[in-house]
Parts: sequence; C-alpha cells; structure tokens
Amino acid sequence: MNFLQPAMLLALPLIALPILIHLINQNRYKTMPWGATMFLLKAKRMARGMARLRYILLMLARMLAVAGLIFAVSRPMSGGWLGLTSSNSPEVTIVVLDRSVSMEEQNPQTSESKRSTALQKLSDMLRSTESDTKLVLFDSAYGKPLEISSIAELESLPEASATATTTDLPALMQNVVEYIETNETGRTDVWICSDLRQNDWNPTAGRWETVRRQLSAREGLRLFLLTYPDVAADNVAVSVSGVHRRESLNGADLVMDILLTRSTPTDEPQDVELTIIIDGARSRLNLELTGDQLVRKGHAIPLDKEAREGWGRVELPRDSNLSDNVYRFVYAEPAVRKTVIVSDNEAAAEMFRVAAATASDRSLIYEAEILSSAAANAIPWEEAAMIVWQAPIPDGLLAKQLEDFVASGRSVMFFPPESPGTNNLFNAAWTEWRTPEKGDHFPFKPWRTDADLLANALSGTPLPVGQVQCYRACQLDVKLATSLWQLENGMPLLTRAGTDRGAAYFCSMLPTVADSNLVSNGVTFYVMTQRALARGAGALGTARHADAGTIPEAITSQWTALDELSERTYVSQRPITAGLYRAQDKLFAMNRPLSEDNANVISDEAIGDVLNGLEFTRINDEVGGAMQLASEVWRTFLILMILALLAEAILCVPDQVPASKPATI
Amino acid sequence: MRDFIEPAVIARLSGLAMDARQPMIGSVSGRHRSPTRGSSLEFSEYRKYVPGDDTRRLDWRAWGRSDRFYIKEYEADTNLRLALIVDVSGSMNYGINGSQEPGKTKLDYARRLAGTLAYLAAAQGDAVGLYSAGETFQREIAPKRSPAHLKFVLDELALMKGEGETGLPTALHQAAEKVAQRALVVIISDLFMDPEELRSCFQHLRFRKHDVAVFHLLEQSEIDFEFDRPVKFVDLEGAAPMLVDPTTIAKQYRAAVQTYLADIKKLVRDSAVDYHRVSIEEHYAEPLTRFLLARKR
Repeated sequence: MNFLQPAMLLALPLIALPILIHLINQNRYKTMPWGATMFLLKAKRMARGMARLRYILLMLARMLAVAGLIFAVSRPMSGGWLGLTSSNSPEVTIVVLDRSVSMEEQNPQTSESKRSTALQKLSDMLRSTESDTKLVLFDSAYGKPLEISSIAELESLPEASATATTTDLPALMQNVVEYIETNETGRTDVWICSDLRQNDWNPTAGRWETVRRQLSAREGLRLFLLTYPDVAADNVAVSVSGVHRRESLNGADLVMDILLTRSTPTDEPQDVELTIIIDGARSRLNLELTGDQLVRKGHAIPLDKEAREGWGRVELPRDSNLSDNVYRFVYAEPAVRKTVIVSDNEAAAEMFRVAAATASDRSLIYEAEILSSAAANAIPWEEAAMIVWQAPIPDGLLAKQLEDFVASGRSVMFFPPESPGTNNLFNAAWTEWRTPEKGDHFPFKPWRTDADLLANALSGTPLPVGQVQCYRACQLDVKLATSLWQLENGMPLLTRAGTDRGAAYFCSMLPTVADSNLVSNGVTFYVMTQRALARGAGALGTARHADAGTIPEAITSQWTALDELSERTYVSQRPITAGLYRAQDKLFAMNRPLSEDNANVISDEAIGDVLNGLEFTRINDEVGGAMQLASEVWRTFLILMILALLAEAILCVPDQVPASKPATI
Repeated sequence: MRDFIEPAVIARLSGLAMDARQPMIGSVSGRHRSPTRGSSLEFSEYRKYVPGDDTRRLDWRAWGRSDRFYIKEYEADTNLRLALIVDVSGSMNYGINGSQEPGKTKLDYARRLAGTLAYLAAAQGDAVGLYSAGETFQREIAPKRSPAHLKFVLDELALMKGEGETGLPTALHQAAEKVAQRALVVIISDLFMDPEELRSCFQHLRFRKHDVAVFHLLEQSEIDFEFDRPVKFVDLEGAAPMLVDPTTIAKQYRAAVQTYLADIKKLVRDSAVDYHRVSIEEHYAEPLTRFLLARKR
C-alpha cells in the first residue's frame, strides 16, 4: 500500500492517545465515602472478565478510530491486488509489454484493446501513486529497454503502439534479466502485460529456466502479471498462402489458398464475407465457416493477362480484433526454388536433393544441384534460394560468399562432414563425431515448437520429431545462436546461427541410414528442408512475403508504399507493421506471423511451471474493464473510523437503570 | 427533649399505640396482652377445675348446666419491653447523596427513629432498653420503665457515633440472650452484611419469643449507583479504598443489590420479622406511622 501523504503517518503514535487519556482520566477520580462496599466487591467479582473485555474492546475501538483517521488523511493508495503488496515504492518499474497481434483484441463497447487497457491501467496506477520510480519499457517488437521520462508518455509512445508482430516472451524476459543485472536496479517491479497466448509464452522453452534462476536470485524484485486471458468468441482471422500467377486459356488467374481461423471453435456455421482487393480492384467472396478453420485451396481470381506483378489484400468484416482481419500479398513471376548441395557424400547428397527438389507447392518450380566440395566455387550464388553445405566449413572467399548469401536473406543448411575441420563460420565450428554412451541412439530434449524449422503445423499439430533417432552426431561449438533442438546432454542438434537476415542452420546429424532415421521417418527431414528452402526463396523473385518484425528498419526505410494503408504507416514503424511495399524491382508483403492466429492460452499450471520458484502476483483483467490497479482508499479508512466510533459509543452506553425503583425506597 | 425528637412528630404519633404482635410478659399491668391468665374484664377460656384452684373463679352457672366444675379464665394485660438495637457501624455514617453532614446520615435517622419509639413506649408505660451494635456489642441499657431511664436512653442515643465494622449479628445474638423476657426488639440498621448471617440472628430472637421489627435504612444512591466518572470509594467501615470506573460495573452492582434485597425480603418473610425498608430521604415520621399502624390491634 502506498500513501500520497506519508508524512501524516508520523502521527501514528497518536494511536496510543486513548490509552493516555484513559490513564489521565483514571487519575482524575473523585473520592467518595461509601458504605455499601459489599456490593462493590461483589460487582467487581462478577464483572471481572466482562469488564476487562469491554475495557479492551473500548480501547481497541478508540485506537482504531484514531488509526483510521490518520490513515485516511495519509491518503492510502490501494486497489485490485496492489493492496496486498508492501508499501515500498520500487526504484525501477519495468513494463514488459506484449505488442503481438492478439493483444489488439478489443472490447466492442469501449474500442479499447488489451494492450491499450494494460497501458492505461499501468499509467493510472503509476500516476496515482505519485511514485518517483524510474520507468523502463520492454516491448515485444524491439525487445530493448526504453527509459521513459514521464508516465504520461507511456500510452502515447510509438514503442507501445500496435504491431503486426508476434512475441517471444522468453527472449524478452532474458533481455529484462540482463538489464536488471547490468544496471543493478535495486528494488524493481516487473509488470508483464500479456494475453498469455501459448505461442508468445512458449512455456516449454528452455530459456525460461535461465530467467527463473536469475530472477529468483534477485533481492527486492517483485513480479506482476497483468493478464488478459479471455479470448473473444467472434474473432475470425484471415490469411492467404501460395499466391501465384497462373496463365489460363482466357488470360491469367491469381491463385491463392485462403485460410480462415476462428478463435473459439464451434460447430455453428458462420457466414463470412471476404473482400479481395487486387491492385485496387475489389471483389467479394462469401464463405461459410464451421469448426475452427476453413481452407479454400486454389481459389482463382481472373487477372489481366498483361498484369505480371501486383499486390492485394484479403479483408474480413469488422470483429473483435481488427489486426488479423487483413492479409496482404504480392504476386509476380515466381522464382525457381533452387537448392545447391555441396557434399562429398553421395548418399547424403542424394537425400538432400530428394528433400529439396520434391515440390511442396506444385505451382512452383523446384531445382536441386549437387556439387562436390572441390567445385564449391561454381555455386550459382544469384540463382540459389538455399545451399546445403555438407563439407568442411570453408574459410576465405567461400566463407565470405556464404555470409553474403545469408545476409541477402537466403538460407544455408550446414551438415557435418566426415572430417569436421577447424574452421569457424557464423560463430560455429564442427568439432568431433559422437555416439551415444548408452543405447543405440541419443535421447532428445523437447524441441522448439513455436517457430522456425521444427515449429508445429498451422493446425497446432507438432511434427513427428520425437520419432527421429540419431545414432551419431557431430559436436558443434557455437556462440550467439538459437537452439532449436538439443540432445539430452545439451549438445546442439539443430541450431540457427545469429544473423540479421537470412538463416544459417547447423544440423549435427546426417540423414544417412548409419547416422539417423531421418529419411525412413522422412516427414521431419522433408519439412525442415522445405521450410528452410521457402525461407530462402522468399528473398528471391520479385514478389516476397515476410513476417512483420523480421526485416530491419535500414531496409524497410528504402521502400515505397503500394497501397493507401501502407502509406499511412510511419517509416520507423514499417518493420513491425503489416504493409505492401516496393523496393526497386521487388514487391514486399509484410504480414503478421500466422502463429498469432492460434488462440491457445497457456494454463494456470503452465504459468506456475514457467515461473516456478518465483513469487508473482497475477492480476486477471478484462479488456476495457473498469478495475483500477490502484486507487485512493481513504474512504475505507474513514468508514472504518466511523464504525470504530459507533462501536465505542455502543460500548460506552451506560446500563439501563430500572424504571421502577424498590417500593419502599 | 433532645434535638432528634420533634414534638410535632410525637404529638402526631401519640394517638397511635405501640402494640405488640404477640402476648408480652410484663412486670406490671399494661395495655398489652399477656400469655398468662389474669383478672381483666376480657374473657379468655374455660378449663377444668383441678384441686388447688381458687374456688372463687369457679363458674357456677356452668356447673349448674353441666354438673362439672370449670374455672373461668380472663386475659391478663401487661406492659411491653421495647429493646432498641441500633447499628453504629461506620457505614451508618453514610448520608443523603453521600453526605456526612450532621443530621443527614443514617445514624442520625436511626437516632430519630429510636428516640421517638423510646419516647412513645415510655409514654404508654412500657419499659425501654437500648443496645448499640458496633464492631462489638458496645453499649446496653436494659429495658426499664422509669422516666429517668428514658432520659438515660435518650442521652445514650445522643452520644452514639458510627465507626468500625458492623457487629450486628453478634449484637443480635447477645440481645436475644440478654433480654430476659419477651420483648419487642426493634433493629435499626442498614443491614450491610450477608443475609444468611442475619437468618440465625432472627431465628434466635424468634426462638426467645421476641417480637422482632427491623427498620432497614437505605440511601437511593446506594441502590442506583449512578456515577459518570471514576470514583475512589472510601469504605466507611475501614476497608481499603477502591478506585472504580462505575460504567464498567454498574450493571453488576445493581444486580447484586437486587439479589440482596430479594434475599432480605425472603429472610424476613421466613422469620416472621416486621420488616420496613426505609429511604433516609423520607421523613422519619412516615416509616414510624407505617410501623405503628401495622401493629394496631
């Protein structure tokens, strides 16, 4: 509990005033001669217990009245759950703000989103407590600390506005922990404002363990969860995939797969009217949605035969979340999805070729070319979407070319060679081959299911990664990387090196029969190869699709907007908002990550597990709700004082004298 | 005449005779019934003649009717012994509203009651005695009939002072033994003691065939106990003073008083005691009038 006039608390010793007055009053007695002492003695004997209790209650009531008055004039702040916390103002208040798309879910009455509600309540709370705490914002889009000079700024900051990104809360909390440790923040309050979406929290992530360990070691740190777990029943999200131009007898068609996702599954059919805008021309499409998803595969819209490239949007009518009602796309002549495989192991190379060249989208052209390590300098760098490198890590020019290849947004998958070598690239180097100490294959840790190569399917179904068996793996010495899959002993099995753009993956096992069952149990191997290829292919061709938050501002600032919605976006906000842009000869469609359409909320048990060992206060709020995190509660103390005075008055009422006195006296 | 005897009250009450509720044994003829047969004009009963009876008292008419000898007996009238027992303990110094001014205390009130009763009894030829009961049985004047003895009694009344604890139970037991013949025993006290202690006293007096009357002197503030701030009660009988917040024990005090009064009432009813509860705020002539009227034959 905080006090706006804490100086008034200096008057707290006045609580003893009633006792003092009582003692003084006891000494101001009058003396009286008395004959009927026998009755006095008897009355005192009879009243010993009761009188003492009454006296104690009387004193308590009077002290309570004084205490109530002092607390009332001290203007205490409380409310919600804050009242249960201690009165110390924190030196630093860290706001961890989930700016993901799902946080834009609105209350239809107030048009307040979960994000804006959380910000407003935090602002009100900090303002009303008149705390001189240092305010630091960690938003999920940038993940960096932003020190805020005044509370009033919190709600209006661009860094706290809506985005089309997703949230990696474990990573964000790691940044928070790092900030706390680096700055030695002392008494710190950490407020996590989130809607508890499964994909944002990723409760199985191993990174939580580090966060837990480091936070639990901090003295004076208080953790608050301001959560909005309710999911709107009427929200529908739209997305499109596989957008490509197809020549037809009458001209050309734009073909796409449309996916509608309902946040709350129900068997009740729902008519959805889609508006499809292509190069500014609108058309409508009525669909009936039952269950939680509807996929309209290969929906074709006639195009002008001359239109070789263009842009478009698919829009839904207004519902609880406006941010997932629009999905943008661009189209052009599709680029060939070319994979170059550098390997001296023929069996492995063939397996890579099959996985890379087998079309997952029949409207696209897939190619794969195998080169020996000696012929690596013949790699067609400009045409390749992905390079599979199963050879010693190169150095010199080849290494530089690979770095540039990744920096251009394309993918490289490194697999270990028989002779690992000593070179280091992307802060990673193969060291030596290892076999299991017990049994014939290595046991695994859980893999990363929320993003990247081993992420769950859009339906939420996990890949059959658990069925993979690894008989031999090469030790990888790596720094500043994201582990996607690990052996139980902590040895990395699939790792993504830290890069600004593109992706460099290191897979520590080979798909050959002697090394693993990746091929015989081929789904995992095929999906991870195709995902890496699709990611690399996104950087080729003239029409490119990207998730918001994956392209740095330095690149997006050069772009020009294609549609009127994108024109309204500030240049600084382009990397984290959805939009349609042109960059020289390329078209870009930026959209929210599709994982945001998954409305799964983590359970209370999962929160307990994630924050196991940490003391935290959870405040479940409602979007647009009127509950205050803190408010003045002097009225409560005034009522307490009045009640105490009433009790005192009742206790002081003298006993009734019998109306009729004895007859003869 | 003493200052505690008012001629006007004497004049007002002189018309009311002080009668005993039971036959008295006196030494001389008086206005009170005697348990023995005597020569008054009032017929009492017949009884069979036994040898030795005075033949002059044979009822010849009864012999003529029944051929049997009967002695005709008549009531005997005798005088009364009035034994006044006055409590002179410290608590009798309590006066109206706690005042201890002369003339306002219970002892002064008792003095008036006793003096007036003594005067009235002497006036109708009865013997008057006085016993003062303090911490011990302090003073005793055996009942006598002479005017000089009345003066002696009144002098003693005038000299009485209230002090110490009450010794009333002891005094009553002693009085029961010392008053040799049947008497009207009038006790004037605040009776601030355990009613059970009084029970044996009254039974003792009744066993000795005394007609017992009690004037129970009380003051209203002792009953109501209405005080609004702490009071240090200084016991008039010498016990340690008590600092009391009256608001905390008033209810219990009143309950204790009511229980005590109820016990006293039951006690006097069981013991056939002529009981008069008296507020010292009323004029002493009122309880005396009630006392005398209740005894009128």
